[in-house]
Amino acid sequence: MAEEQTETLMRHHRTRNQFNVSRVFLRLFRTPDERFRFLYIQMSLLHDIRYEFQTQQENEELPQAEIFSQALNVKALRFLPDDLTHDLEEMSSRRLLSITRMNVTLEAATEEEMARARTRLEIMLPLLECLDILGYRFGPVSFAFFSQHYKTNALAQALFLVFFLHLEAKGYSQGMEQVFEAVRMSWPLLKRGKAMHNALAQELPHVSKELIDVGHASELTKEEVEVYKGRLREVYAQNKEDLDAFWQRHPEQIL
Amino acid sequence: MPPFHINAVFHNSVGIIAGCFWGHDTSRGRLYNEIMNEDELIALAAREGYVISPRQLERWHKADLIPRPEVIPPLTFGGGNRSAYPYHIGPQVLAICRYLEQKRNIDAVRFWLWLEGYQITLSLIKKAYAVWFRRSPGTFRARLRNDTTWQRSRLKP
Repeated sequence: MAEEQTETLMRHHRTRNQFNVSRVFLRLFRTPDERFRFLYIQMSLLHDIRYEFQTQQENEELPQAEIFSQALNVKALRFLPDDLTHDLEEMSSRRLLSITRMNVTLEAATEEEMARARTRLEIMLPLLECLDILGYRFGPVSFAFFSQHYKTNALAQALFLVFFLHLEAKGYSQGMEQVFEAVRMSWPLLKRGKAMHNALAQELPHVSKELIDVGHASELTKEEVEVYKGRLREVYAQNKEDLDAFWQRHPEQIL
Repeated sequence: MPPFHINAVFHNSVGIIAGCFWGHDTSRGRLYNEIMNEDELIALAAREGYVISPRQLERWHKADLIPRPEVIPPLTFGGGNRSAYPYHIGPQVLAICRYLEQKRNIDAVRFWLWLEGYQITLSLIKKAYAVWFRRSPGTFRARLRNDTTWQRSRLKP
């Protein structure tokens, strides 16, 4: 089943639309074999087939987890570990992406569980927006692109709803709550930070150039933070009048 | 000049007194459990810039997007039956118009209405999802039982 679908996709992925998501993803892989393996992994995970991520590879062949890391652009998703093998193995063995099992979970879901999943679904857009503001990308695609399409796509929303139901049934409800709580807390702050960045870039571009991206702030070491703070103090001293006027014009941006 | 309008106070008091006698909730001006007929719903949608017809309302209640109307017998001899919808249906009709502008798919609209908290039968939501995933591997589960491990030899065509 997974092989059949993989082969179909391999034959038909060349759509005219150059922004077609599967086409964009498949363009990341140089050889047809890598493309085939990437699609096969996905099909296996979706079609309730246990996929072994820890199998030995032949020489010069990308490991299975590496194929996934390459597609997800794990280096850009800095909150994910470099080696995804263990996590992917768990995802595969617990059938977290299996559509068949998700359908079963949905069939058995009570009204209360559905209502809970609906509440969780409300956090999806803020979550995508937070990831976008932090500068993350999902493979070659930006999270802004995802959230734009997610808003008008009932199927995508339904998929996430059922996925949340499935995760809860598998015992991940506490972890989900932690993530969503973090999003609930940070979203307003990140939005204000972005608005401040934009206003500053428009009104005082020379000052805005000195600020680093919010997404990179967490990567700085203690020493680097101190150096950065010192630099900001200098910038403030040089542009004191302009910045004081800016804050007076935008009192809502003061955190 | 008092900070309230004397007429409003008068009407509210009359409403509240009437409510005590007939058991209606009148605290929000118009009777809360009052009914709306089709013309009123169409006028409400028109005020928001949407053009809908009685036939459309019928289609929507048949698709369970809105509750079924109550059929009221004619007031006069020779008059026709009238469809009466609950008063709180107005926002739901406007939401349907808004969603249909976004996507002309009844299942998607029903799902969005449920997400907004409107009363939609859960089985319909589940059914819509099943339709979306009609070609999902559920029916192939038996076939997959024998093929549950990574088989490298079968990978390369």
